[in-house]
Amino acid sequence: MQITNRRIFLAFFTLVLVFPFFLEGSYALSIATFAGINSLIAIGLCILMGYAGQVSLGQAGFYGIGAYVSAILSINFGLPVVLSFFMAAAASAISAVVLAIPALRLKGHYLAVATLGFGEIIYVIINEWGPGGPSGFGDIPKFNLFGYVFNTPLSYYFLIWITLMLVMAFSINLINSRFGRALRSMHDSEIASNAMGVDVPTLKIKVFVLSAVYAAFGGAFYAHYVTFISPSSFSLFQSVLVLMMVVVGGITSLWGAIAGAIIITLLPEILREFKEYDILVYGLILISSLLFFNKGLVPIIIERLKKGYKGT
Amino acid sequence: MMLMEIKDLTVSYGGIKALRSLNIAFEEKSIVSIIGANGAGKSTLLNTIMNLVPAESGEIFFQGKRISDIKSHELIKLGISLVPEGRMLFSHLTVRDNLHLGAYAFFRTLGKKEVRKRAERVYELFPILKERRDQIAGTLSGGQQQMLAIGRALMADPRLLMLDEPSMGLAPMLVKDIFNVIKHLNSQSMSILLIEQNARAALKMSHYAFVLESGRLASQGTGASLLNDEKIKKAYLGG
Repeated sequence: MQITNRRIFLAFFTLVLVFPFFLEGSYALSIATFAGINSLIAIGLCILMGYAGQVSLGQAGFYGIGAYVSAILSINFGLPVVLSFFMAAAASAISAVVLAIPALRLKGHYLAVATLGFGEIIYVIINEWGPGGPSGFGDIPKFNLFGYVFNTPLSYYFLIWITLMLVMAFSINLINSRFGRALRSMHDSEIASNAMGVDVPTLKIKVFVLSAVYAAFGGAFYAHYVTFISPSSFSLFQSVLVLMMVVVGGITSLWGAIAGAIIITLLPEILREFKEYDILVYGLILISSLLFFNKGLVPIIIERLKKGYKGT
Repeated sequence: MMLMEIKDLTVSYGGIKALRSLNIAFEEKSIVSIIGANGAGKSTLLNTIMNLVPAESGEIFFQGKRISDIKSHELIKLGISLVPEGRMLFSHLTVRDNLHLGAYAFFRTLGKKEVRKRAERVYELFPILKERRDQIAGTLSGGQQQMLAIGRALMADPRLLMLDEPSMGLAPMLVKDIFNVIKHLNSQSMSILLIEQNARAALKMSHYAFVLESGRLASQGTGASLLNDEKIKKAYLGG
């Protein structure tokens, strides 16, 4: 991990630990928890899009697989939640391989449409054949580890955000490794990276699998937190939301993914004041952020800071 | 033994034949150039050797080994490096990262230290790259980008370095520098396969050359003999 990243990391980690003690009530904590779950999915998409240059409009599909597989395994098969978690991630990874192999030939808009199709297929499957059909199902056990049940909002908040910090540390190291360099090279020129000895097709499958596993963990965390899931949480709208988080925060920055996830999760809550006009303001904020901060929030802040240092 | 032998190679894009039953062979430690007009099939030839474009028929041998079915990313391990047309740098990465990616295929066998050593050798060849090692590749000047593209290919320490139009878009002085580097690399017993629009300069430094015309081999000979060939003079050297 680079030094600057390490500093940001420590500052953020401290903030995460201290933050809940300034919050009032469990509602705010649950919003923060959702922001953490969304961050998990957004980091995966950020690596896939911002670093590897692959488009995905189907992250909700992997998110849904994670939630449904983990929930079903723990309810119907009585699997310990931790085990069902990893089974869900494995299921998502396998589906990512199945998606990636034909999608490898596609680029840009075509890849976007293929992944969108994948997301829709998963949606249709859980809607038609999932327990409870369109109305979903409940009684999903809470997450538990070594006999400890995470049943208070505060414990779940820590579970999510500490996991997120671990995922973040792993991701930062990954991006700065040989693997990460290969990902970025593929983004710039597939021909050149192939000629340099990067096995581009295999690398594409790997990065799809990685983003799918992140989304699946997000889904499983969601299912065992809310304890009730229905297909509507895993529709195309969710894929678009995750895309928006990554774009608003800054597609080339992992920290941007977290920032974007927090903003997009918080925004509807803040905009409650506008009552029935909230969706209008929501749209206005998003459009203007794309128009005026098209690189994304975090990259722009970093740029400003660097300029500021040079100026003084 | 020939370093490279290409037998009866035919390549098509859709219905259009880009290379027609091409036969080419050349020896180790030589500078070989391929000249020809736009659309003659020069880049297609390099891309087919790298297996980036599939061949319709024919075979390619490198050091006696058939390489026609070897995947592009494996070829570099056999000692073939490509400096692609238009450089194709990783323009969002730093100079250093670009160089390190050049040794990507060897990272496990070489280790960090050796990779750094190789980068140092590239810096000796192109000192300006050392100064700019933390700069983003996309912000380098055209000449520096070409140096980086060559440096990146050298990180693999190839037996055969293939260059696709290295002089494209460069000022005459820089072209001279780049050609001097190519000669220097050859003097250290690296084989060079060069594609050039600048036929006169290419022929001058080549030991051997092939002339392509609409995908067919039109002529071949030593660089000096082709320079004095009346037909070649008329068609490619401006009379």
